[in-house]
Amino acid sequence: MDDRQKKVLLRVRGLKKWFPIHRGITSRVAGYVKAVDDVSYDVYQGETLGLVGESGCGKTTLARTSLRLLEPTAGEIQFDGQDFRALGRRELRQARKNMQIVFQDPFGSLHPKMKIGRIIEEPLIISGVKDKAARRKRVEELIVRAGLKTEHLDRYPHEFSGGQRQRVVIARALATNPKLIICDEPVSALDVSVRSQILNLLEELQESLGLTYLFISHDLSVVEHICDRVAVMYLGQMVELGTREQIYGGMLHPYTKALLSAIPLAGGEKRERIALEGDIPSPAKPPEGCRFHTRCPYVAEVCKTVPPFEDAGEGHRVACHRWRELAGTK
Amino acid sequence: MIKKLASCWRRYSQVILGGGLFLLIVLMAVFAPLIATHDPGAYAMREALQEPGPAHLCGTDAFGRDVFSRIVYGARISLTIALAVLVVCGALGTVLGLLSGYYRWAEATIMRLMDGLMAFPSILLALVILTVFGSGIQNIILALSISYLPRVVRTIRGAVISVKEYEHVEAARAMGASDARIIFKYILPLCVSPLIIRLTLIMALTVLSESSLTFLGVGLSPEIPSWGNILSEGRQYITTSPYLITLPGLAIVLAVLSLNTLGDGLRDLLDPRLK
Ligand SMILES: Nc1ncnc2c1ncn2[C@@H]1O[C@H](COP(=O)(O)OP(=O)(O)O)[C@@H](O)[C@H]1O
Ligand SMILES: [Mg+2]
Repeated sequence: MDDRQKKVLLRVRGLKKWFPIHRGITSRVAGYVKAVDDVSYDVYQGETLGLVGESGCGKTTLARTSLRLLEPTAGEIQFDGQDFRALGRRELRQARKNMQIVFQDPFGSLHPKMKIGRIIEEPLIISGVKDKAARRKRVEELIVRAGLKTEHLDRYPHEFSGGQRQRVVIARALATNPKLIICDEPVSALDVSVRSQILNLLEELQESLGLTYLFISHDLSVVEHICDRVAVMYLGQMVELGTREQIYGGMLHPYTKALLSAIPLAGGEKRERIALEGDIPSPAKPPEGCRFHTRCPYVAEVCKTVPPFEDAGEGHRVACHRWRELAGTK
Repeated sequence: MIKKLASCWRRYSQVILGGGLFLLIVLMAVFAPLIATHDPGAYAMREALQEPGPAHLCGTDAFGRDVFSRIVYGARISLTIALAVLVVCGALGTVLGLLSGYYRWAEATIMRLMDGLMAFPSILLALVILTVFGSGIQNIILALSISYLPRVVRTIRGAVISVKEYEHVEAARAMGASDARIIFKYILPLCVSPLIIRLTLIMALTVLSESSLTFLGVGLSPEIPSWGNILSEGRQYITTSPYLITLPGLAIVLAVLSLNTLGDGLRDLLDPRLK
């Protein structure tokens, strides 16, 4: 598909989310955790965009800020052609039926005192479906679609395993026919044995319902499976964005290379292992210039300045001064 | 079948026992004229300080009044006060606690006010209020409600602040739920257990404080047979006629115990994980 034919569902430009750090008895603002710092990306209709990066790099914050579950510090958001930041509180609540989240922790994201049926019904009630019988019918359809049975509807969340709960979360997310579903590490909290079941379910649903996913994971091998395009984040910024082939076949950023070198290739052969030095710097005090330069094995003088997030051809974007020189070194 | 009955009993026993006992006390209060054997206010100096026996089930006090009848009638006063304080504190405390836990703008004002009230020991606060407004049942209810309110507000607020961070609340926000829906459907149900525990405790404290206030001379006038009054009058005779303390004390203990058991049982019943 050509970029120009694709419809942009979510367009984010220059998004920032800075959390103030309060200090002392006067709780004056001593600085900011720059959890998301100037990130721009698009999510196309019908695709799965993967978002990867180490834990704490700002993936969850980016997702929540993109949906205005957290109010952005700066930036533009367009959802389905509409200026999303211009919406008032009431309009925003109404718009929420078009975007849903599958959370990481299936134990925390279900109301412990609500029955499963009610949990799945809630988004329908909130979005204004008045007809009770119609809601019930939809709930039954959804639970079956998510791979559970209608008799499960009268039970409470604590009676289910993690995998089953995540199915309930998925059924709930589907209830209002959302245009975009954010999956925030939907399988990281699950047993390894049920992970693939949930991933398969998500893929099946995407195929049959034409869903669009923003799929967050710290695990590149999961993302390789399910995503059409992949964005790599480091310390609140995107460092590389490309199609699955561009990233897994010809990644350009040293950080992506380091992440990928940790997972074995399909044939079992090993990639050259790139070990990163040092710890992740604090997002409250990110390094000047390229944020990765303190840990990059290819650091040079030029890296003390901020690299542009430039197009390396065919929509493959990378934020590295030296990607051209390094392109040969896989 | 038997197994089912047994599990049923285990589930409801606390509610049945606690609720049953409390119901008995309430019935005693409601039907006091039928149950009491004597007029609780009738003096009979010649029969003063008689030990419990067939004529006077719980004996008589220094004025010859029948202690059993006074305890029965006392349930009316003490329970009315305790229930009224419970309702006022419960309703007002829940609303203020929810507001101050959920909205930052409400937090500063409400909590400053509550901290101000908390700065006094609650009995002292009630004492001051009663001195200013005069005694009487209504003012006792007012005074005790005001002095216990901050504890309820704090309990609820603390629960709200932790529940607010749960992911199911975030999920509700992501669904587009209104603040009211989030507060009442997603947060409040998870604050019920601490609320019940706090309120049963306050009810018990109310029964006790009412007697302290009476002892301090700002509570009910001595003719009114509240449990506190009976107790404080009996204190002078603690060595010679201990039943004047133990029997009304027993009434208070049973009332408090029944409430606590009921509270515990309700809390467990409301928790679907314990089914
Ligand atoms: N509400 C918050 N207040 C302050 N700092 C936060 C808050 N939420 C997240 N952060 C910080 O922002 C950074 C990114 O967090 P997060 O988005 O959860 O990362 P990820 O999902 O990639 O693991 C972390 O350093 C985290 O400590
Ligand atoms: Mg996260």
